[in-house]
Amino acid sequence: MACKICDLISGNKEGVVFENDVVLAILKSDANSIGQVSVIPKEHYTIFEQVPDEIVEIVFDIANKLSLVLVEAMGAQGVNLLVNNGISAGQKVPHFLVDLVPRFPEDGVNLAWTPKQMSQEELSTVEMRVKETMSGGKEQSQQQSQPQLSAQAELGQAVDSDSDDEIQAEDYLLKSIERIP
Amino acid sequence: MDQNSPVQAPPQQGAPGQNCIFCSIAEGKIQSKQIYSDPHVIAILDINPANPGHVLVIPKKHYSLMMQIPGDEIGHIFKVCKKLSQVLLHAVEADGTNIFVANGALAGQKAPHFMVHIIPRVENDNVGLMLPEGNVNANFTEEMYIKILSGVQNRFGLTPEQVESFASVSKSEPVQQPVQQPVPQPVPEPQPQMMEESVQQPAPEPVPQPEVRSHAAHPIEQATPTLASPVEPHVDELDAVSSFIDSPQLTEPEKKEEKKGSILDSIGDMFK
Repeated sequence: MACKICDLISGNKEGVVFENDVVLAILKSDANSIGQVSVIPKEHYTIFEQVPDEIVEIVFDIANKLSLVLVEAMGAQGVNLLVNNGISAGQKVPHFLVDLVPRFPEDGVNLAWTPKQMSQEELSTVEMRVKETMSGGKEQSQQQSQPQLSAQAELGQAVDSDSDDEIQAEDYLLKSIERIP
Repeated sequence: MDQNSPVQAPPQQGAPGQNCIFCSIAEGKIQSKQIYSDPHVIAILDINPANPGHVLVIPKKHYSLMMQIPGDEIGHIFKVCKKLSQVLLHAVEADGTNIFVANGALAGQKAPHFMVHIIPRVENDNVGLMLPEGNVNANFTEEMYIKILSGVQNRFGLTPEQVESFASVSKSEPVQQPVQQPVPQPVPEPQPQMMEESVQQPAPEPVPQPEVRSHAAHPIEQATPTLASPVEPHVDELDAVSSFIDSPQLTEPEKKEEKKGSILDSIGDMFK
């Protein structure tokens, strides 16, 4: 599978602002705004849910420190952190990464959304479904489900287990990501 | 960390945490649609969501900005976000999620308490959250790059050799030369009404520059944070948390004079 980001990581990189064995942080040459930095685990993970806990800790700790550096070095007056997880969320490459966007007045960046109105009933329904999803997984994991994980079992592991190495995200999400040209 | 940090979270009255709506939610004093809780964080539904299932992950301890949060807590918060993202994909049948943080009012921060948004997404949901495409002024300059490297060296506690190992500057001039001095901060004093201030254009600092090879795609030009296409400052960019809770009595924080630099005063020590 050709991954543009994996190629970038192993290739001749320019604009690297930090690098260690686990993570690469780089000023993007195709950035959408000034000073945008991508914090990228060197290991290939397609979506957020696949990233092991220990890598999540390292990536976001580095992203946090870099946010501070961006404020100091560029005089940014704000910083956005953004993960686009899935095509519908705007993910452009099938390799998990965290974008840091320093903000300036009139920087042409608009990350606003229009809130939707939801009734109390609708909100309660969502609340119930979320809680059901979380608790439904617990029972499955206690039954020691098969290696071929059902959605519920995956969630049980996701919520309860510290070891996320076996987490496989929904096939649909993965397949849709891997169709990204 | 110097006093003149330009990043200002929305102000709040009283001591940090006092009169904070989210601290009250975390303490259970104000009702909310809570879907997760552990000793360090809670997660609640945003009741004016970008999409159904929009969740706010909030540390129980009061922090105004992400940069104030120690590394281990950050790790925990985002591990929770990862798990909740997976839960939401299933619970609301989304096929994507955005993980989003706004630090500073100019970035769209509305509340004085740090939070992470997890926003379920489906195709063509018109939620936005898109970075602009083809922004011609987004090219970074050598001056900016060197300043960032200097900051990285300081904040990450690296040696000049370590920085040189990944920095793409010419090896003929060491990177350490500019980083031994304190990086000049061109940002002026923070204004009381930060969101209404005019564009601040820092004067370009003549940092002594080593011989650098230009990045293939980036002409060397003066760094400027303003862009060719002026956009009106969106002071109310995000309404995501404007009425995030059930109680009708609470109002948004007043836009009063922020504590200048106070929020980030202690950050310098946190990362050393």
